Amino acid sequence: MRRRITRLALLTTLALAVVGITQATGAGGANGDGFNPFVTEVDRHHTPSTVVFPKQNLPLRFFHDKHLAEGIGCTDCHAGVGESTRSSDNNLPEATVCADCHYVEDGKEADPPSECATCHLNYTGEYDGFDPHEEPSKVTKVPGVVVIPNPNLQFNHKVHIDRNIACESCHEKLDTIAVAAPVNAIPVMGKCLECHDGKEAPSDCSTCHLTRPDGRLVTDFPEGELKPHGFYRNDFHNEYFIQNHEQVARSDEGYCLNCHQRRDCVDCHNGIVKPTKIHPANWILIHNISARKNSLECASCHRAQSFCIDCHRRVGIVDLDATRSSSVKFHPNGWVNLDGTTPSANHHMFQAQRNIRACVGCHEERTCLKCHSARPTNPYGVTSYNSQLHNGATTPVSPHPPGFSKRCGKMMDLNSGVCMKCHLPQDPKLLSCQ
Amino acid sequence: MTSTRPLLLGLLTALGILVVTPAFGVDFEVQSRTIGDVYAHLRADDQAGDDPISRHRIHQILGLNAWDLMGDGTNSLTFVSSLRIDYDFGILAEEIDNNGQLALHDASLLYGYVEGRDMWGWLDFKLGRQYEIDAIDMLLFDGAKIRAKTPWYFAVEILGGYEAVNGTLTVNQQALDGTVEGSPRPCFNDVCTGYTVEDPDPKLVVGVGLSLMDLTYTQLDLKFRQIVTLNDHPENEVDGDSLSQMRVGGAFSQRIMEGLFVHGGASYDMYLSLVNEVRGGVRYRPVHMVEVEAGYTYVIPTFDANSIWTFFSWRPINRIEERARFFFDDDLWIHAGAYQSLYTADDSVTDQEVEGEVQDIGISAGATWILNHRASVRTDFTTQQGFGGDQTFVDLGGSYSFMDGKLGLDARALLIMFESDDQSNLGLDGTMFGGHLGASWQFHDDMRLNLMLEEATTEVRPVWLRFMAVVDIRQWM
Repeated sequence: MRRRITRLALLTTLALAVVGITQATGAGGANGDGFNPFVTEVDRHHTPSTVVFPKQNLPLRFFHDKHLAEGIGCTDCHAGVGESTRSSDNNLPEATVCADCHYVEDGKEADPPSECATCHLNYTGEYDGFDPHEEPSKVTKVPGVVVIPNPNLQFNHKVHIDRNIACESCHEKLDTIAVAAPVNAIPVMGKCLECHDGKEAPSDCSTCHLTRPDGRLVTDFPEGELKPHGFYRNDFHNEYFIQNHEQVARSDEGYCLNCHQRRDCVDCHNGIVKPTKIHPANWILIHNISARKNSLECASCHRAQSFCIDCHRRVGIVDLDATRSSSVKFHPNGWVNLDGTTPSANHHMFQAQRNIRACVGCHEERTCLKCHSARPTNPYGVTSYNSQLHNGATTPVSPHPPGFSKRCGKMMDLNSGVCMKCHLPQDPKLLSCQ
Repeated sequence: MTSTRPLLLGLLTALGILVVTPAFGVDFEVQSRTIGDVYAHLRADDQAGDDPISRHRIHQILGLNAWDLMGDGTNSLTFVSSLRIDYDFGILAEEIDNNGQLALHDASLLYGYVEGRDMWGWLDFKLGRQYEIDAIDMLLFDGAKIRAKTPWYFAVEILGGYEAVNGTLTVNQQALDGTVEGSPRPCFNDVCTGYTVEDPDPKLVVGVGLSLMDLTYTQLDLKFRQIVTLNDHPENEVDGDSLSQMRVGGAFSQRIMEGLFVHGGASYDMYLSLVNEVRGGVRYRPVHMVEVEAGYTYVIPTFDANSIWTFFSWRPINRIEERARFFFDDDLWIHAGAYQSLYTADDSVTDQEVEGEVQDIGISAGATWILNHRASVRTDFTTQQGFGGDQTFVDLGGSYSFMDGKLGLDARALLIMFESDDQSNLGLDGTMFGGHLGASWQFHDDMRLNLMLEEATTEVRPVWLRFMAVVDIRQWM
């Protein structure tokens, strides 16, 4: 059966992988709806998010590398960029700008080439006796339409240009590419962070990202959900992040609150409603194995001494007062050795030393005091088992770890009250700590 | 002083700030979440399920937030709060008689504070009931935290107040274990005054911290914290204040180079004089398609210093995790991972063989596929063997939304093979099935209804159902 399950899981994974490869290598991708062979990727670790820069349709044939090699400057074509203050500004040149050099009327004979297909990808124009760029309404066969959705962020070209930041500082490697697109010409966030470090320029996320009235970032866009991919911080919101996000929150909790509200934390961490993303359907029945294996993980949302014990009392897993006539037996044989025999491998000391938090889900301190208290009479009304220990010897079993005597003095200085739960003030062992 | 006084003081101060701040341009936001949750528990001694414990619960969460109190569009001064009211119709009066703790948790202020951010370019503060999350642990307290930014890449902070202890208007799942109801109070001068009751002693919290700032790829946070339980019971006579916790801790994250990160953290318990926690990890994504990560955790379970359990716990739990991912694109990846928990038993006191050094291992593999912004599929296979029992999960889930997200569906199905070491769970051993079906409907721009039906099939109970309904309402004013 177990083998069959393994096989099933592997097959499912394989099927998903095959579909994924097909999707990843298919036409379109980052280039938009139509495949454009002139949009080539450059060598960089990752590309901008398609949520921030929605997929574009660029049915164009253009060579940034050749134009730059000719000595044509950026603003020769992108003339208005120096006054652009919004990311939604269209800073692409009109076709008439191209026509300053590309004489469409001369078509094939022109130098530089000026056929329709010179710029319009796979397009063969039909015009006669008019300039299609001057009188576009006369064109009977329309070339592919360029679609560049507004980016989902705020950006001010003017501010950057006024600070004499060169175009190529951000738009790198344009001298090696043909058609510019997000995958090869738009800077990734790491480029912004080179200057936006909180000193040279603001580093608040809201400097560039869109915000809601509460100051948190907008993360829900028609193109998808904006999530960190772990390129700049260790914050990749992957399938495991819900389990190990503590490493980000602990080192800089304020960073999380750029997108999340406090309630996002509290809903789980102080929650009493079972989140299905974390605990599957049968969780209430099966949680005991996970609690034994890693109850420290449980402790991030549940207190053993309230959350766990309350429920365990109700269902009868724990019955400290022995008020029920239950036949339930939780612990294995050999859990205690009141008869003074050599402890078995099942002895509770191994669990207590390993992770006493698991015990706390059912027991109160009085359980332990029964045997571990060194007081002749217990101050809390607990019936002592001490007299039964070790064949009638009254010496309690010390729970203190090796080396405790070296540090117990300091502990007594900081909190002597807890020592008195088990020891009398005149107890020689206690006095030796002082 | 009772435990409610600091809370009331904090709330009044926060309210005072709210009243005196200019109201122009303030965005008020009211959030409401109503949760109805219905299911039943099997009793441990009733495997036939003839007399289950009913859980018919209503939770009402009310949030009141006021944004941009300065009215200048910067959100530099805000107020956030959340109040939760719980009621469990399934708890019987006789159960409360046997366990008074069950009756305590009916209303709770989850948080409520005024927050100033980047005031005058150098000051952050929070005033009221708030969370503190750091390398030491997670703390809920009523008080103030002030953080001053210096011109030299670091900020210093101080905090002070009273820990929010379970009782009136408080349910604190982050309170230190060891001293809630049922635990003996510490004895002073050989006077022992019985168990903690509904009115727990106030706990004074003070802390200082230092954190790095304005370093793009480096985060570091260092903290010191001390919690002292104040003697609020005259019968305890003199010198009754006792330490609950005193720790220093730190956490860091560093990008070494593009794609390579290390992170870590540690906490030193100054009361126990030992390192009680170490966490560390590395993640490396050398190329866009491949990522590997590994993590290590060392933890010694600790408690409030007023609890004797502090003395029982001394052997660390070690856990090593490894995980790898292969990306077909940003929205489709497969993962595989493993973990090992290590523990060395002190078996010198027994002549039998105690469980070995590797007490628990597990492996997992799966895939995540975000088809588009409306649909996603995920699958995971996990098996764990060792201490506590063996369990294997085959998990398949997905979600789909349509009508511009107004309607949504999600589902999850599980096959579980279960073999527990617990004597009380032997009846459950075997193969189980479980799953849930969920639907959501945004019936108004600011209102959403979520329904969920959860089902579990086991050998002791062929059909186990849980129904949950959630209504979310958000209103801006």
